[in-house]
Amino acid sequence: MTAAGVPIADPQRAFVEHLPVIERVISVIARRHALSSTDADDFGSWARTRIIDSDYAAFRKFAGRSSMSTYLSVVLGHLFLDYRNSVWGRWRPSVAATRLGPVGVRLEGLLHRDGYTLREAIEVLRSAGVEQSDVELARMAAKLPLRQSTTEVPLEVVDGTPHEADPAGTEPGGGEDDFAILRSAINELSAEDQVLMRMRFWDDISVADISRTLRIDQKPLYRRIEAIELKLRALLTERGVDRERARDLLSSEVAW
Amino acid sequence: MSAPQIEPELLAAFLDGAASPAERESVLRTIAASKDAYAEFLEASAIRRELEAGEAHTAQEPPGAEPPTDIATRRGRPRYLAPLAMLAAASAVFVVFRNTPASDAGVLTIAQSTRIAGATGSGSLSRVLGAQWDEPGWSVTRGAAPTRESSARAFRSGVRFAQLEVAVNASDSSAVTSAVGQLQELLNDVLGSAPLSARLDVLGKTGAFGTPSDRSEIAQQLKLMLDDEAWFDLGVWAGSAQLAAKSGQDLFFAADGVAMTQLTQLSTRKFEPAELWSSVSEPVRALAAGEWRASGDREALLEAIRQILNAAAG
Repeated sequence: MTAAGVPIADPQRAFVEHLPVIERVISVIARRHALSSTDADDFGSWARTRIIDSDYAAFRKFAGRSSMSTYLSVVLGHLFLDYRNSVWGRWRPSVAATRLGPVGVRLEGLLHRDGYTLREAIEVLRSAGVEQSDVELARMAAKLPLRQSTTEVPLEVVDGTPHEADPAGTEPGGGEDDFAILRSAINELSAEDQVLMRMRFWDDISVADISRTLRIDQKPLYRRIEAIELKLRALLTERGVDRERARDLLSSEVAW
Repeated sequence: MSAPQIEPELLAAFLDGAASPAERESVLRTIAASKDAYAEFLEASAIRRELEAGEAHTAQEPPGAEPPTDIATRRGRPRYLAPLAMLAAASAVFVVFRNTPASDAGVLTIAQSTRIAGATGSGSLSRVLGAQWDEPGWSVTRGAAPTRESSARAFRSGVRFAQLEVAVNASDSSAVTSAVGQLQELLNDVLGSAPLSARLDVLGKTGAFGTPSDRSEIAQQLKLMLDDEAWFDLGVWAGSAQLAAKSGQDLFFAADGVAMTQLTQLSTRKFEPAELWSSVSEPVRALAAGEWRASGDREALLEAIRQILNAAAG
C-alpha cells in the first residue's frame, strides 16, 4: 500500500503484485453478472490487457487515498461497463431488465439479444452459478418486455442508459407531463436523498447495504426514507398530481 | 475506453469513507445527476460489498477448513487416502482439484483445474511447496539435448506446461516466468519455434497470463511443433500429478476420479518409440492400478510418479 499522496514508483510491479486482487474482483464481477466461464475469462483478459496497454495508468494514478481493493473495484467495475458496451454494441437492456438486476440483464441479453430459448438461457445461467430457481428465472423472463432479437437504438441516443422504449418501461397511462413533474420534484431533494431513494426504490438495495455504502446510520435511515417519500408525494400533489397517481409514479420504472 | 464520470480514486475514497465532506457532496451530486455515474457507483459499491462479504466468510472459516467441495468430494473420500489428507491438514496445504466430467476434460483441463490452496501471489508456490517445487527429479541434461528423442522433449514440455498452469492458477508470476523459461529452453533448437517462444514470453513477462483457452491454444501449438501429442499429454498428466502428490492432494488420485480415468485412457494411446514406451508403461500401469496404495503413504505415491518421470524424460 502506498502512503497517501505518494504515487506508486513501479506501476508494472504493482500490477503484478496485485494480480490476486484483480482476479478476485474479476471473479466477483463475473458472478454478479452471471457470466459464463468463457465470458469471464474473456473479460478478465480484456481488462488486464486494457490496464497493460495504458502503461498501467490505473496504478500510476493511484495515490493511496483508498484501499487498493476498493480502488480496483472502481477501476474494474468501470472497465466491465465499458467491456459490456463493446460486446453488446448498440443493444441496450430494457428498463425492466435493469430493474431486475444483473441477472435480469443477463437473462434478457440471452433471450432477446442472443436468441436463446428460455430453457437454454436458464441452462447458461445455471452453469454460470446463478442461484435463482428455474421458476424464479421463468418469472423474471415473464417480466421482460417482448423485443426483437436485436434491439438497436439510434446512435445519437446511445449513452449507456437502459433502453426505455418498451411497454414495461413506461407506466400505463403515464403522460410525459407527469414524469416531468416527478423529475422536477425529485430535483428538489438533496443529492444524498436522491441517491438513497434511487438505491432503495429503483435498485431494491436493502437499507442495511445503503447504510454501509453511504455511511449513514441505519436506524434513522428507515424513517428518513419514509419522510422523503412523503415529501415527494406532497410535492407532486402541490403540482396537481393526485395522491393515487403520485403513488403510481413513485413506483414506476422510469421515475429515477 | 470511456472516461469515468468520477475520478476512480475519489469514488474509491468516497466508498471507503475517506473523502472530505466537500468531496462527498460533490460525488453525491454527480451520482444523482448522471445515470452513467450512478451505474459506476452502483457497480463499484456492489463489488466492494461482495469482496467484504467474501473476506468475512473466509475469516469465519476455521483454520484448515476444506476448500469448496465438488462432486468427487460429495461421493466420499476413499479410506486409504486418509493419511494423505492428514498430511495435507498438518501442513495446512490444500489443492483444490476440480473434478470435471470426464467427457469434457482433456488432459490439459486437469492441469488447469489443479490449484494449490494457500498459494497466491508471486513466490507463493515456493513458499507453500518448497523451493524445489518445480524440480521433477529427472536429469537436467538428459532428454533436453537436441540429439535426444523428440518424445522425451515432448514429455518434458508437458510437465513444464502443467507447472505453468498451476503457477498461473496461483497468480505466481515468478513461477510463471520460470516455467516459461524452462519451456523456451526445451524449444531452443526446435526449428520454427521462435514465434511460439515469443508468445510464451508474453505470458512470462507481462503478468497477463491469458485465458485458459489462450493457453490451451499455445499447448496445441506446442504439441504440433514437437510432433508428439501422446508424450506431451502424458507429461502434462505427470506434472500435474506430481504437484498434486507433493501437496497432499487426495481427490486427484481417487480411483474413479477424472485424473486417474485420464491416465488409464492415456495408457491406451500410441506411444513411440515402442522401446521407450515399454519402460514407461509398467510404472504407468502400476500407478493406474493403485499399487502404491498398499503402503498408503505419500512417499509411495511420489515414488510411483517419479518412476514415470524418470523413465519418460529420456
